[in-house]
Amino acid sequence: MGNLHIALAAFIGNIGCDVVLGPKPNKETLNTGVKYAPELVCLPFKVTLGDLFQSLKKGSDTLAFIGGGDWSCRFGYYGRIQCSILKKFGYEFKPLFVSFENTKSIASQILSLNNNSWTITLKNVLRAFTLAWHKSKLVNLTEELARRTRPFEIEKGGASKLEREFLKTIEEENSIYKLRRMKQKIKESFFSIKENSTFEPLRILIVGESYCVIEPFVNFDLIEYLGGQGVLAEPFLTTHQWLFYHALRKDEGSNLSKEKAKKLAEPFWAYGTGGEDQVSIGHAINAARQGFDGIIHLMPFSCMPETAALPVFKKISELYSIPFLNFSLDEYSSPTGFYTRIEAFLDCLMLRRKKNFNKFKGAQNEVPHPSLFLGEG
Amino acid sequence: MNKGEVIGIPQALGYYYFYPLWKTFFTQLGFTVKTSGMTDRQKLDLGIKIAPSESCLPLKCYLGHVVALMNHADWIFVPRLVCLKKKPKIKLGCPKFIGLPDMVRALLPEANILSLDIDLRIEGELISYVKMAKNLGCNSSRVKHAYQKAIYKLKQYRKENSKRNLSENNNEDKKIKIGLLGHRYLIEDKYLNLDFTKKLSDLDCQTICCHDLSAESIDMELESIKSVSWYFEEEILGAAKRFLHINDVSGVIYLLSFGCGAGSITSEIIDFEIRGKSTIPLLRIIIDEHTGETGLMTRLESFIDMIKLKKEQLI
Repeated sequence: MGNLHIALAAFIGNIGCDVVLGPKPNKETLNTGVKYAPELVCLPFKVTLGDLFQSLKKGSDTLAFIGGGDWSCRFGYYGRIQCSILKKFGYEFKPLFVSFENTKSIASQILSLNNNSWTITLKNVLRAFTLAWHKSKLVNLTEELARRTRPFEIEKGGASKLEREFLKTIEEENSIYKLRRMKQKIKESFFSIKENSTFEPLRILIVGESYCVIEPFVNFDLIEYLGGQGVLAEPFLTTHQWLFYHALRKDEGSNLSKEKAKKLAEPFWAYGTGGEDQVSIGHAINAARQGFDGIIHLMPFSCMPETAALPVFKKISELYSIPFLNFSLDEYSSPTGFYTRIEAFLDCLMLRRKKNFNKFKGAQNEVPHPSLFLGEG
Repeated sequence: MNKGEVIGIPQALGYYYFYPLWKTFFTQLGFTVKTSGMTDRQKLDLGIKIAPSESCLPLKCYLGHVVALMNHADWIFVPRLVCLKKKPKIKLGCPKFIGLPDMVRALLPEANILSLDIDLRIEGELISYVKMAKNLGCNSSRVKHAYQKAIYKLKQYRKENSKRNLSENNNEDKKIKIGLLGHRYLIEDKYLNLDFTKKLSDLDCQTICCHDLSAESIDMELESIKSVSWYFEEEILGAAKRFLHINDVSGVIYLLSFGCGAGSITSEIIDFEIRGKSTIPLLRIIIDEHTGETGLMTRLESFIDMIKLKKEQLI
């Protein structure tokens, strides 16, 4: 999922396991996934299943599945079903279900990897965690700087190139000391890119289902594409936030915390239904209040929470007069159709801005709080 | 409270599970209860027009029922079923049940919605009912009484219903017995499923639906399998286990609606975990608003023919 592998590989590699990194999701991954997955299941299931097949082919013997427990979204059952499917096709592996209920057994397994010694385990886990934390933060920084510079750069492509280079160095670097010093270097290199300082780009928020927002293979590199078109695109969730919110319940480096986003969304969508729906809605409202030009909503076809929340997004777009574009992605989506729709959307937004429809400056005061629209409950 | 105010209950989704409870509750408090009646083409079209295109068929149908009720009732009762069972494990509604009132509010702002939030993780069911009744202006002691009576009615109704259905089926002298799996709101809605049970009975089959089995027997089956945390799917899994492993049916049909997220998971769980070495044939039929009668009939006929063939060979 996006650049999640950098931090996770660092963590798992340092607690005493060998990490097998499968290829990034590609056409073959998707085809394998679609072939073996149930037909009606959602896209992330299919892509991750393809990932698992490929990593097994590369020689993994243990597969870690996240999730399980009380979910009302299908994500909670991914591991269970994928495990059955892989076993059906004769693969032999050890499943490891990572969830809060299983903490004890996971801890004992890590212990056995480190000669059953508490001190070595503790030392390794601490080191692994710090390393993962630093890497994840640096990845986040690189992604963010690339996102912010891309629309302004005079010579297109520089930021993306820098981003790829830095991600590679972060992945390969294994010294915490050097990683710490890298931060300054990343900042300097991105700031030295020549920028067109008078350019005022369109601002777009990307909301929706977390996998579709984060994984560039599934959303056809949406953020890079928008950056190339001169649009300042911001996803409501990054890998860093996703990882540390789900692992430690910690809000990391977000301008709008999850709790605040949920509060904002409450008048329209009172309960989170298992996905990122409530947070997405909160971010959409916040974007309107902060004067974003538009919202792009990504979800896998037939996603349970996002489909249910779709009418609410449309309502918000109407109430706050912020343009809204919805994509439901599946294995048949093609980049051409996708980009065409986005181009048309961007044209509309530009037109809106030219006709002074935009609320780029000082929009905060113009748009009222959601509670004013609805009486009670 | 204005006595005689009309409360409309859309005849879809939760209706098929809790209608006796809701009806008794509201009539006990002095309201008139009005349902939207059976599904028909007109209602379904109304729903399809306004619903998000990817949502499942029963949800589209529900929205149609709400629209149909709008001018005929003072309130429209749209409950939010979040957590319906706490012990031994938490059981949740699927996302569409959790977001139902919000969705209806966003799609039909002019509808006067009466919402009930049932979330046993936060508060007991009775408290939720008291809170809702407060909005209607009823005092809590009367609400308590009404609630107890309503719960009693629901239990009684379920018992009688399953007894009646089973005895009806036993009397008929039909050769093949088919177990029918699926959500009640799909199996019992004759328009949505193109009168599925009638079609089966025309083919000389008798059917047992998963909700005809008693709650105790389903609970017993559930002990031996790993269930899911969806409330409405539990019954299906329990019944599947029973049908597939107790040899009193000769075939099982699982009726799904297209776009049902939970269904895609449960059908895999049935395939991988529950079916095991059972040799009872299982047919999965996915229904949406474009399903044609002829295609459905063809599939059913071939399935039944196959079962007959299998029986003859065994004898």
